[in-house]
Amino acid sequence: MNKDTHNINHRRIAELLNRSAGQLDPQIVASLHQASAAALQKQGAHQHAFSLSTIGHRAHKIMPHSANQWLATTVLLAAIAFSIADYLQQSPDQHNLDIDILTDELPIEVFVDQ
Amino acid sequence: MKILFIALTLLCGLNVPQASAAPTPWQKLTPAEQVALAPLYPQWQNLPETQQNNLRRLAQRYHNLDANAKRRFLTRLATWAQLTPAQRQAAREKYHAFNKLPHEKREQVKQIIKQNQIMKSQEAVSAAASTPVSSPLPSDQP
Repeated sequence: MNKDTHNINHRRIAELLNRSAGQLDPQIVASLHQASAAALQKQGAHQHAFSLSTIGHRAHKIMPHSANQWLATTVLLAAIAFSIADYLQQSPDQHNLDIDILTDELPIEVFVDQ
Repeated sequence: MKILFIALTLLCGLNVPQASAAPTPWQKLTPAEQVALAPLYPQWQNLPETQQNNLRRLAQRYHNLDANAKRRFLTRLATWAQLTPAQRQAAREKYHAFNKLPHEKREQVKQIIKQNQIMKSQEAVSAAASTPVSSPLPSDQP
């Protein structure tokens, strides 16, 4: 019952719209057609397709542009490099050496400058 | 400007944890770590977090050592912990350089060091024997 009512309503609305569209001034109808065509064209242009140039474009967005941004990027990279160097200094090799020094038959004083 | 801000934030993030992180309390160490680091118990709370972490990594290897090595480890640990990072690094470099020497030369050096140790201990014994023992009680004479 409800479904039929919906169908009737849709049909009636469509009929009414067609009738009213037929009563519109031809210039207005032409303008509406133009606007509809333009909107469809714009929608097509904004749909992104994946391509290698898309990556390039994004990379360009990420890359620093001004001198300040370059400076900040350099500082950031230096800090990362410093952290990595600091981490590597505390590598397993260092801990092996420490254990060796602490357990060697030679006393620790031989290697330590007091 | 946005990147500059992010960079500074990250820089602060990188540096702050090392400077302000709280040291690990002794009670939070595992029983195995507590055994290995026992000589450091009195000063543990005062050690910087980085040093604590390094020592905990050393402690992980303690239980694989033989009895002699364990004894030496425990005897030397307090001295090792008291050194500055620069002193420890210098010691590592010296040790590394020493181990690059040919075996015979290393043995020669070990012999010299052992002889020096014996001489020093003998000197210490003779110095202690020659020092007059002062009376612990005050003299009655004016």
